[in-house]
Amino acid sequence: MTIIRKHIETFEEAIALAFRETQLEGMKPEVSRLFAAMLDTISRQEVKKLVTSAVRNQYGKDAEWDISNWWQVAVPLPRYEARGLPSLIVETRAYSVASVEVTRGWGRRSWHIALVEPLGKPRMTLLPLCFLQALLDGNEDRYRIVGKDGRWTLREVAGLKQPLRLHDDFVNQLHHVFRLEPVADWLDDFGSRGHSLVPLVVGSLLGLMHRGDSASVPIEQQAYSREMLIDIITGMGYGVARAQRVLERAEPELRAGMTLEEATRIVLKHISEEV
Amino acid sequence: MRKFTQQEIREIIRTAQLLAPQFTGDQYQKLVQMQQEMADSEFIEAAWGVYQLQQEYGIPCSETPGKYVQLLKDTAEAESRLSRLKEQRKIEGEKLDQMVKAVRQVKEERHRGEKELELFRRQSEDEKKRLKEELEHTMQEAQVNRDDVAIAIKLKAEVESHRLDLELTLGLFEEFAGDEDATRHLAEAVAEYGSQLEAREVLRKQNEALRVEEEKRQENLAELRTECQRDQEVLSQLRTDLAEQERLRRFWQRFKGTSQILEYLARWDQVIPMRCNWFFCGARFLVDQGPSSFRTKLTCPCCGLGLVYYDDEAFTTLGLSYRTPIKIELGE
Repeated sequence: MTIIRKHIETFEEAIALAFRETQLEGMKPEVSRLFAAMLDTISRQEVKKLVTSAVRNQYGKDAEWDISNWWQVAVPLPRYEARGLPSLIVETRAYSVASVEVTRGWGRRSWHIALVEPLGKPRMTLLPLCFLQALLDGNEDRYRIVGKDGRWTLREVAGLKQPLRLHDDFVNQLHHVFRLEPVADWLDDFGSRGHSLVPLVVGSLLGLMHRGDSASVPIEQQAYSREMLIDIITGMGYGVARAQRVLERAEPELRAGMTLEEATRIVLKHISEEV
Repeated sequence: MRKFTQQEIREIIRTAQLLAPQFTGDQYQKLVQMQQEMADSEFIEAAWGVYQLQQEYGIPCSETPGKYVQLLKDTAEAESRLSRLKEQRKIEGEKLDQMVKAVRQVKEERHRGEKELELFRRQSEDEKKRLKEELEHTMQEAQVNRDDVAIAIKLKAEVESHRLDLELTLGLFEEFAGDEDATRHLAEAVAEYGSQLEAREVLRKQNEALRVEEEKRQENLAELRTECQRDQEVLSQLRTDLAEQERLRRFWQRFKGTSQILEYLARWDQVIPMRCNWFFCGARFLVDQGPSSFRTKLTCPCCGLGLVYYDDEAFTTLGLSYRTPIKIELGE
């Protein structure tokens, strides 16, 4: 809980305080609004409880207070995950920002404070890049809907163990965002953290766009991946643990962009050394 | 549009190649170029044109330039035809306007004619009605009815059948109707003038001559009256002049002896009538004070006493302002 001696009146001011609390740079309020749909709404009673505890700790038991306004602010932190299905994983932390007027019991003077308090555990939102690509192309309907829970929709995405669960408002807003700006600019809205993900996400989306053409390329000429190499080693009758050890030994010689054939030769060499 | 650094571009291509191994830097550059061209509205327009050609006319992309040239020619020809048609339409429109104006004018004239005709019809009806009323009124005044009129028409026809003039016949009736001795008068007239008609003509001429003579006499009389009036005015003027001369003569006779005194007094700046109030003196005299300020303290030139005062009686008699010095001014 952070107490700031300031009178806030708007949601924008609340978002700015939450961003300051997480020490994020360059994040725009629009992304907070976008991911707010992914959060569970907290009740006024919960906020009241948090404020009571904070005010009594700070100003004593005789302090009186009144909540002028309060907001629930989402702070999304994106990261890129290439293992398995390339995805964008957004860890959304919820913050309660309350504008409170405090009066000491024995005095007439009152003042305003802003309380910023993180709420519960962060929510993880998985956004497979193939789904983002479908959103960009406007054909997200190609993913079969396997469930509906109020405003939450479950879609079946090949490569994911669990169905993709997203809030309808979030999907609609994301669709609207992608009509107005490219993915790279949207990622820049997340600040420095999003900016660093731009090449990976854009590259993955381009790869997904052109993956259909790769059928004509022989598999040995395609770029290797860790999963492919493990599949090859386990296919030879070795266990997964051994395959991982072989990969650890071969790691210094492997480099990004190497074909599967080249990588396989290196791995085979290390298997023979392992044996 | 965001610009990537070289390092970012390399990373993008490398990441893309993980999913699509055949993806190359050239493809990336093409994509970027395409994105830039998509931002260019002219490029989009051209591409859309090619697409439309293919969709609507089934013209493949390779034949587009030739078709484009053909379409340009067709467009130019259509535009020239359009301009000709526009010109023709303009001429036809002007003709139509003129025709509409002419039709409108004819309609107006017709409307005006109808109005005039209606007015004329009303006027003729009014006139007919008025004439009828007038005829009725005249007949009432003349105390005749339609039977009398019919008789008169018949009488006129009868008279004309005997080669006589109705006016003349009526004149003769008028002349002889009230005359008890008409036969004798007629015989005398015939004896003197040959016929009654000639006698009437001679008398008419004599009457005319007398009338002319009477007019001339009246004119002479008017001239004489005007002359008489003028002479009377001259006489009146002469009488007035004579009276004025008589008055002047009497005035001269009366004041010619005192004119020297008046001339002398007129040279004074101011004349003040004064009087001695001593009981045994009572002298009256005129004083000219001269340029110095006026002094009322004077001595009598007769008795030498200082009981001299203004001669108020003189002021009153002469009708002058009370005790104001007099300046005598003579005429030319």
